[in-house]
Amino acid sequence: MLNMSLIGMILFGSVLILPAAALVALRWAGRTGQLAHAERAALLPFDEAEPVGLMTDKTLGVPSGAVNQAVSEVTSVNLSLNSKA
Amino acid sequence: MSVPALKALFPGDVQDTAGRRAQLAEIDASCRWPVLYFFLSGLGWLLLGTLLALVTSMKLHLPDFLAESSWLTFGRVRPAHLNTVIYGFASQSAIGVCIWLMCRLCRVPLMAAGIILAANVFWNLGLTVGVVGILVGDSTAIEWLEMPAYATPILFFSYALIAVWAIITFRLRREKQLYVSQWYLLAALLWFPWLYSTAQIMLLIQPVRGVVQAAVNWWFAHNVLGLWFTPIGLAAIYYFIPKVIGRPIRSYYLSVLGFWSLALFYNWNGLHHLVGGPLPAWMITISVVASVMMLIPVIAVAINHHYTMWGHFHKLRYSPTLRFIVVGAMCYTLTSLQGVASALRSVSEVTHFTHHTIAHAHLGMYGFFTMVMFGSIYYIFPRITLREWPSQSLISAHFWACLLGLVLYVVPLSYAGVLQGLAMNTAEIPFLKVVAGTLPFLQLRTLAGLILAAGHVAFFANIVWMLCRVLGPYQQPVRMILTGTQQTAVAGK
Repeated sequence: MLNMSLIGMILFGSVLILPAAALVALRWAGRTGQLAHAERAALLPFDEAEPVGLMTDKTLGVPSGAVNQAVSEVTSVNLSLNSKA
Repeated sequence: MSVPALKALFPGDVQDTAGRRAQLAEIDASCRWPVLYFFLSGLGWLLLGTLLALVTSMKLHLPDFLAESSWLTFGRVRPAHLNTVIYGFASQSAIGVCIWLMCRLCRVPLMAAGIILAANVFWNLGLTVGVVGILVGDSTAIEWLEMPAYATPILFFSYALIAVWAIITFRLRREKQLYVSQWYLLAALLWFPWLYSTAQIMLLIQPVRGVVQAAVNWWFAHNVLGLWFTPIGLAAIYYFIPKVIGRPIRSYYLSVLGFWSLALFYNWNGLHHLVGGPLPAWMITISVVASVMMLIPVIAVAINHHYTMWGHFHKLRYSPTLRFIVVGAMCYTLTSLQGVASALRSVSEVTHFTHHTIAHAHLGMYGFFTMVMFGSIYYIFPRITLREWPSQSLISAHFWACLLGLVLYVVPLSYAGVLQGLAMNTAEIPFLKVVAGTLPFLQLRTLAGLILAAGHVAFFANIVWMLCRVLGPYQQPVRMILTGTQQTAVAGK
């Protein structure tokens, strides 16, 4: 009996709570503009320090003419923070 | 501390270039030890898991190999391998990547590092107890959930700590707009406890009876791939491909469509593994239909990634991250299409109970997920340790060994599985003859495993070398990350 009620709770919870959570998430996304500003969202991995157009991993070599001073400066900031730590 | 008080610790987002650089540096520095612990412990489990995999593979064609010790018999070593790579390497590297991505995309430094460090300790403790339990004979014999019941609460507690941390970080984010990777990460963090706790309760704590056990088992085993590893792998792909090549994702709307269709269809999957089993036909049919519907997110993701990379494929030459992640993305498409085909009744009648399923699982878990994790680690590690990768040769050796080993593993075993299935469905062919026919492919599988192991050793050597630079006395010019410029690093840091 306990067995069945526990399983019933899990199934009931899964059937109701998960879709409800998905609906709440969708509503929140719509209300806060998460689904409306696709162009801006697509740019989120980038910023002023690592802008669009900058290749950020050249571990296996540097393409000619592709060295970017901005990234060098990011690394310098990293090293300076590290030395303070 | 209240949320407003916590938020006060993190003033508004910066907009200028210098501020952004300082912010990135602050975030990477804050992630250093927590992420490093997850990556390093994951790597340790990867090496152990690889060793167990080799022993398992050899036993398939050399049954007397290490047969004297009960704890090294096939029935124990094989689940020990599965659990070490799934919960040891894959989950821990996933959590490490998840932490770093969340901090970067929320634009907040890692806070409450103690929670993450405690989670790491408990995760590894639970896993050690679980794997030792399997090896001493306490396995539950339920696939993907073999760890004994006394180990799993420790893992669950650890997971709860990570979830609490993720909620705190998300709540305090400086960037209010969500990127698609965050949707995937947050969903994975929600789905995993649901899957794991439901399966634990229904199979171990209050076990259901009869064929329902098989149904729950396959629902969990399939969905832990699709709702835990897949979202985190896709989150990493959606972040790192644009980030490395410097180009936004081709279609953001398509990426959102991919996410919601995955959320809608994937959790109906799993029961197609029981085609021919004593289950109501409608249950299996729903899973078959859901598998076919998975073509929507898979094709959406494949088109998006391909067209994002379009015109940038030459950059594969310079970036190890891009190499691993692009291979991982291709494997995601391949393994998903293979999975859709295998779910069909007519195909499943041939390929189920054969090596084809093993090849499919490895194409997904290794070709897709592990390759994406390797790529992510290659990107994150230099940024949190502030050191270059010491050896480009070891990186190349790692990549080519993984790729060669993967192809040598998946292609012959997929083919062998079809032959094996067709032979098993022919009543005139004796079973032992079918088994003997698979032997050359099993030997090839061991060879593939050895090549993969060589790649893992190369990766391990490069990481140890890098850590010696981080932890040991260090005074030498380093080629600066990404740029090729020369600068002297700080001694002893």
